[in-house]
Amino acid sequence: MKARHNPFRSECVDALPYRAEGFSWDILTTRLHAHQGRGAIIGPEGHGKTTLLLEWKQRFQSQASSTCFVKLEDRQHRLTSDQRKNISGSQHIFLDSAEQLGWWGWQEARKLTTHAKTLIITTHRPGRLPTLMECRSSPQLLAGLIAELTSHPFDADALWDRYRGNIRLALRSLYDHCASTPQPSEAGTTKHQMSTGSLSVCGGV
Amino acid sequence: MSAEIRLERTTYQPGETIEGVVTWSNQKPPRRAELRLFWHTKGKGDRDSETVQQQVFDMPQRQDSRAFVLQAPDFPPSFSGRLISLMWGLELVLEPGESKAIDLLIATGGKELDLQREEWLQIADTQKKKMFWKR
Repeated sequence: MKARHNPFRSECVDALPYRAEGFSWDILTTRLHAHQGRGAIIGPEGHGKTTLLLEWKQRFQSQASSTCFVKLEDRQHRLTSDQRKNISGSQHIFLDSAEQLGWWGWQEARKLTTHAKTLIITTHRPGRLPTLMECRSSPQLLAGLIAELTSHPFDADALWDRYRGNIRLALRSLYDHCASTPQPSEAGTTKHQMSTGSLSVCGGV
Repeated sequence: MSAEIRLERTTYQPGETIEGVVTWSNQKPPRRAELRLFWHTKGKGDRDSETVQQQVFDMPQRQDSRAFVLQAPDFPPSFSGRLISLMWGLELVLEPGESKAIDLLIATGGKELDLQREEWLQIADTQKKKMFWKR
């Protein structure tokens, strides 16, 4: 199957809104206010922390607030000069993968964000800021996400077990599975299928 | 708000002229109206995109219709493989307001390059060998 037809392509996966049992924006916002606009979203890799953080940032942005999203790379122990500059000029700061920062890096980040009204981080373990939410996954959650992307039946329970609840890895494995599956329309033809006006629309198999 | 991009066709050879008309209807005149020719990728990894040509429409009215002429770029061609697809598109951006986009195919022979075809793998292999002997 061609990449642009793959129902698990990144644009479709990224468009899935965050969901979890009992999740509510009202509860999350109340917790944030209770902690003076400081808090952490915690959870293992691939459990929706970044998705939730991005959505939260968009909610602030829609209220015309000055926001800044910083993604820390693997083994990035200190902020880069560009990241420091962005943080210094923003009122609402969203720091993804804050566990990457070393002790000095974290102290620097805290100092740079003292002026900010909001600082929300994602991290694997609790401790750096009060916990606002712990992201969890379940086979039912994975099954729901798959159903939203494709009508093809996949064994969500087995996938969830194989990837130990890492939803991101499970969905990537389904991308690979679909990529290696020929599409009926591709057999013997290279006819381009136009998807006029559907740049942001994701369809199933 | 309604917006439309009208083209005679959606498949072009590199270098060909892309002619069409954009129309829109809004409650207020947009502050800015612009047509962008861009490519973007779809697939497994991070998405990428680049606007390569744009046409700004002066003094946009509440209800308006404008003709446009762009040139299909030589590179990159529309292609698709298992990991990545590159697609061309035209986007009408009205500020404030929504945007409207359509897909285009720009490639020699009017056919998307299929990276899964054996012949492309052979060409890539030949190129690699040539590069090796040039060193």
